[in-house]
Amino acid sequence: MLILLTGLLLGGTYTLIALGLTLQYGVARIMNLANGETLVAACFVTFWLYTGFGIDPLLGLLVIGPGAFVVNWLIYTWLMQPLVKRASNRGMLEVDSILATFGLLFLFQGLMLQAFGGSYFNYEFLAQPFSIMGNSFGLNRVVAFVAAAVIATGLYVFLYHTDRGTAVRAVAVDPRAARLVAIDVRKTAAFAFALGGAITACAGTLLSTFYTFNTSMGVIFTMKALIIVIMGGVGDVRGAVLAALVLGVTETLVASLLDPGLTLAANYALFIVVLLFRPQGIFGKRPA
Amino acid sequence: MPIWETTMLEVSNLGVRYGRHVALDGVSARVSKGEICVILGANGAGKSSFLGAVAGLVGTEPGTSIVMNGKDVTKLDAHLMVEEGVALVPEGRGIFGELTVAENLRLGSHARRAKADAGKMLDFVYGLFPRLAERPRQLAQTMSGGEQQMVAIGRALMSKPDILMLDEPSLGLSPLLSKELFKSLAIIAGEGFGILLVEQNARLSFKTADRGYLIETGRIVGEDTAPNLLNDAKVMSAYLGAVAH
Repeated sequence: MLILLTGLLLGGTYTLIALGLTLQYGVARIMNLANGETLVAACFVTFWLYTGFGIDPLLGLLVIGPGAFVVNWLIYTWLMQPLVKRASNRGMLEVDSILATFGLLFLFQGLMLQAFGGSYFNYEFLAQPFSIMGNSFGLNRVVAFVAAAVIATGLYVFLYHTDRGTAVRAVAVDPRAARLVAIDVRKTAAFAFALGGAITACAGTLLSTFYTFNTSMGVIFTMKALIIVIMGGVGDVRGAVLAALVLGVTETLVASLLDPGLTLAANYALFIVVLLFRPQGIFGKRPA
Repeated sequence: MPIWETTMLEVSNLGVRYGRHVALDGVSARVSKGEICVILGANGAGKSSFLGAVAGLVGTEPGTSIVMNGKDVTKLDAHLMVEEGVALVPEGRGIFGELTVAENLRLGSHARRAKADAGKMLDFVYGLFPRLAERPRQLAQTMSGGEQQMVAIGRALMSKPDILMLDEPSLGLSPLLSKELFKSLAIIAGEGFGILLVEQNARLSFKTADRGYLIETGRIVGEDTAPNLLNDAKVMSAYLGAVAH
């Protein structure tokens, strides 16, 4: 029970990371390998705001979310749009964007390494016990989970119950048909990429409240997000939530029962299992 | 007496090429308010390229002129053409299969020009296709071919177009469903929407249409009123039946 709850709490933050990536990949069609760097940058900015200015990480979300939105929008319009324009098909854009964001990954990592060094960081925020069903958890983990759930729910409502959100999903399903219903696909893709970056950054802020971070851990989180997105099915919000919780529980299970050093191995084992048996995602249909 | 007093869409000297392949060359055509206009041609004659070019999906050659309601729209992108009153039901229908019927229709009124009358248009679409009103929450991809065609036409109508363009709407439909489809098109035209469709099905489309063009290897080779074309033995023998080649 303890393991299950701990895993679910972790899965909440994972959900956000994956939702960020799935928006960028599913709608803007950019496989953003530098996604994890957005997360790490958010960890450091949160740390800086909290330790330097005493700004509560939860309040920090209100700055970091919009800030990441703007930065990711700029990245898309300046760096990704030229690739989109010259790509003659989706496969070409995929290759180009993977190479370009792979480069960005090292650029951002280098910049952060320069600024913060390679050591591990953490800070104390709401580090007090909180009891759920007789088990004691860090209050920061519980708060992070609740905040993640609120943000994920907000995203769901936006995507499924507003016109703008429906337009975003329409672009994910069929960009050509989206143009035929007066949707500006270029703008919508930029918006989705920026929104995805903002959500990933929020995940970083929440993660930093209970997690020890360093400048080079971004790629691990990009991989986790990728695993969740593929497990849940690209562009599938429900699938991403479920897959994120599964990953959180699996990691906690392996860390508690076997060895904490094996969590990453468990990640990839799960990934391989999914690729072998359900490559189309949990809720996905087999491609016709 | 001509019923096409006011020309809405005027295409002149339209050219389309894909690399070295010339798909359309010097094509001119027009569509007026409340008129059903058919472009008849075989596979590969350039019908889809014509609609694609007008809709802004396909780039055109220099010298092309497309005028809609008196405004030059030759270079407008597809999403802006919808705002000018041009709606396309593309080949293969282009509906959002993973979205519900209601979501597809709501997306149809995403255009600014459609917002004010979205409720009225939805009533019209549901009246035209009661089947859609019965299942607004069904995923579009789980519907039958005929029903998907209704979703596609309904979605295009939701943008409150001046001209509804359809790319071979009867393709893949049974003769009975095709007849139903053309009945619906007649009703839509009766409401004042212009209709421009490309077809291979000569008999059915000319029976419903007011006017027709014949297109062959990227050029217009004939133009007349639909009754005249229907009575032209040469035309009918060339285009009768589903597939000309």
